[in-house]
Amino acid sequence: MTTRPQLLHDVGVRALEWLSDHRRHFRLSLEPGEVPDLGRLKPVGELAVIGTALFREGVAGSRQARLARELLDFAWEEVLEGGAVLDRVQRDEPLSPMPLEVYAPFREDGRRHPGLERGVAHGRALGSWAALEMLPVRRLGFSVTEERAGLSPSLGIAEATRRTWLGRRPEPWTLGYHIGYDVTHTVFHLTRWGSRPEGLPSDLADYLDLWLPTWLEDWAERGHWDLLGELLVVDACLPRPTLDEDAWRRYAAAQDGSGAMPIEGGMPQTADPAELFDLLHHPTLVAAFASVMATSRSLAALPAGPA
Amino acid sequence: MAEATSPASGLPDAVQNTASVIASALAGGGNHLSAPDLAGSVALSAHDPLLVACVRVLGADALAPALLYGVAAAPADVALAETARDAYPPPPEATAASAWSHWGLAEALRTLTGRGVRETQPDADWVAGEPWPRLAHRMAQLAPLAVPGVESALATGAAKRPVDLGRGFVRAVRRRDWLQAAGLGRWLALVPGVPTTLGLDAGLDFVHHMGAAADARVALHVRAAQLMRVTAPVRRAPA
Repeated sequence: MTTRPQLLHDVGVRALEWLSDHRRHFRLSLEPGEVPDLGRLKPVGELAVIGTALFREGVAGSRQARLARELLDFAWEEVLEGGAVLDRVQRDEPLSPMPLEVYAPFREDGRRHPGLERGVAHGRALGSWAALEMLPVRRLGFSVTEERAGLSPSLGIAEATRRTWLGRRPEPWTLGYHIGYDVTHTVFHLTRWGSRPEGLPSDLADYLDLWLPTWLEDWAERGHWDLLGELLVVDACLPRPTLDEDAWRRYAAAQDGSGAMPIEGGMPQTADPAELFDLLHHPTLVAAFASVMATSRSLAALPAGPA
Repeated sequence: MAEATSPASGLPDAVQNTASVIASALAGGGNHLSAPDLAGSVALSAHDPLLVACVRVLGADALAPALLYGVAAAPADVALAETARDAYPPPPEATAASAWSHWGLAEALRTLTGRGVRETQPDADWVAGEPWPRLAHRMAQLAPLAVPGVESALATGAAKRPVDLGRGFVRAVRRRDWLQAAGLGRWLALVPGVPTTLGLDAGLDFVHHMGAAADARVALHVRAAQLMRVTAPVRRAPA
């Protein structure tokens, strides 16, 4: 029994509205004159990859498409100053992969910053660039980022995939918290955040067909909504998604009335809006992403679905 | 605490002791042949109601060494198992777990002695239809029936759901429910078509390492499964 499209859809609408209402917290500095906190680039990068996916899937309905577009505009124009912030970070740290990682989805969306691209080209010319120490899943993500940015990957994607946990297809009963995120991100990278499901090698898709249902059940039962949401995205990226009704029902029930999705258990108890945003923006972005991916797959599966 | 006088008071301990004896026999190669019978091993009289109740709880597993090694059971164990079988006939409203446990003990006795008629099998239609988490829970309770040579509708049904039993194993390990994991490990050792990526052999070792010290039934199931992996050819996949 698969889940009703309406249930899948509504989770995302509410999540996107919450993100839109709280978008000022994506800024690198909240008060004029404050030194920008570059540690806050990570949420902007997440907003970029997920926001472009939301817009791309195009099933969100006009209001959702408009909210996603407005969030991307806001992030690019106001937070990143049209890419100038990324250019500055790249100059400060020529070997940092982060500016390119944040930039790649915007570039695919048609936004360019030639200065940053020149800086990245200089960094890439160094042997040090390809030699950077990274966890296997990050290395895979970086190879994919390079490819998305029109560059040749520092490490071939097939080899980078083989080095990941998922690439080795180990015992599925060992999947704990950190491995869970390694698996979801391996799938996100290989499928280009859901836009190319065929990028997932068939042996990995078969492995996920077998064991993903157990992980959905496990993390739903533990009430870890952030990881469950990412696993629901993985499901929607598979050739044969389950759109598991029980997991989706529990996930939807965990969403707060405001549209925010708690990381784990219930909503955090804090009155500080900035702290609240830090705790909620990731699971809520994931909720919007899972919802749009699952809705898209669910509509595609309807016998008389819209053309 | 040692002198348990009623079947209820010392039953969990007696089950642990008996399961431990059986697990050791399964792990010890052919050495079980020189071991004393169950009553002797747990230092209880074969007529002690506690031991009879204990065999009723363990079901066919009371005879597991003989069944799995394909040798004759000690006559005293056969007599004990017959007493347990006859002392606790399942009522008509018995749960599937209880009805199947009784049937398994009776069928194990018939297999080993050649005496008696095959009893009608309890319902097994649910094996085809239960969602995998519920299937896993129910099949793990019936792990004593996962024995080569004891043909049942349960085993036939299980052979059609290797992936779902494997999913149950994953879930049980994640929940640290070692008894359920060990019981499912037994079914997985019996049925064909278990995905190699499950890592069953490593999983059985892991479950034994984590759960056997606290519950001898975990040791019993894991040892039975490991023995089956070595000695019993896995059935052919259902057509």
